[in-house]
Amino acid sequence: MSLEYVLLVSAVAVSLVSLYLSMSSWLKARRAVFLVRSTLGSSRAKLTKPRKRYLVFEVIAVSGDLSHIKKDHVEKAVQKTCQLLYGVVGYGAARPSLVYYNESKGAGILAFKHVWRNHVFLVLSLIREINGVRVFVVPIVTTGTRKKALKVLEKT
Amino acid sequence: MVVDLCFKGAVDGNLVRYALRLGYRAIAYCGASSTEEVGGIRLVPRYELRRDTVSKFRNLRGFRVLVVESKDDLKAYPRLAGSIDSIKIEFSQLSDVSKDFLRRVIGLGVPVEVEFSELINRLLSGYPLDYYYLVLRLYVRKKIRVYVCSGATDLSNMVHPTAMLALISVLGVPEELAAKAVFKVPSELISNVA
Repeated sequence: MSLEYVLLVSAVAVSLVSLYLSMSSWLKARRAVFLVRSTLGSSRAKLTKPRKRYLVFEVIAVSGDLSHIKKDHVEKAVQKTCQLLYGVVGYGAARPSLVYYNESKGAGILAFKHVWRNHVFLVLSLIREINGVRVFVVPIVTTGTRKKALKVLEKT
Repeated sequence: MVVDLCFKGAVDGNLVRYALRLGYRAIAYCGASSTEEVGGIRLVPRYELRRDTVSKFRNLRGFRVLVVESKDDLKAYPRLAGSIDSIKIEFSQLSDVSKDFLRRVIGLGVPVEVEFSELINRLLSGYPLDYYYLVLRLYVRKKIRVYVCSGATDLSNMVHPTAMLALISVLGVPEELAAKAVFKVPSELISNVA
């Protein structure tokens, strides 16, 4: 009788321990899966390939002559303002480069990395003077290819 | 409709021409006495009121902004209902922003004004933007409404609307909410006023 009782108690104890072990291992496995998933998710977000975008913009002269503004002047103004706002590292990451500038129209195309779109808009809005001419730089449209940007520029 | 709800300088033909080129269709400025249309732009009077003068200007026709300079300005805020269209918080004059103050701002239910020129000046001169982040965070959580205006004093300070959108996006506001603060909220406010 007592032996049966001892066996019963030990069987219950063993089953409880095994239940505890299986539950804890299942929880650990779930946590590990969650961690791996979250790590993969964040690394995927970090590894987004920065794609090139082309911004067609227009330079509006408030005072002075638009013909005094050359491509180099616009390029320098963009570089200076971008470095002022975001520093050398930000400038290097955004990589705004003047692809094309039409001096007679006062319009051009600026290439940059897509993740820095808003930053580049802000940079352009803060350019108030180019080569002594007070200006507004107005973004017109952003395209994914240079060809499309040139088409838009022809129409403006 | 693109609207600039805070222009502080004088509006002339030249400014109207450039504002049109920048895409604006309505401007609220302090010098106007009545709503008028000049060269395709609607000019709306803007009144900056202090707490003690709000009751005097209850029946003004124009865009009424309460300038909050101390935390006591929003005491008994239910009385302000219908007397103002928005509030502008002068963070430089507030000693601290308590939870109680923020509760009043939320309870008031009118949009909070954020000036582009002030924000960019603070950003460039290295002043802390803590209170602006506080306001923008409340906006993102949809506790309050926020609109962005240029705060320009003359033509050279005017900005393209996308720059305002870009600035608050850079500060962490999702783009759709930023667009709402730049385009939707100001146009709703101006349509209520004019």
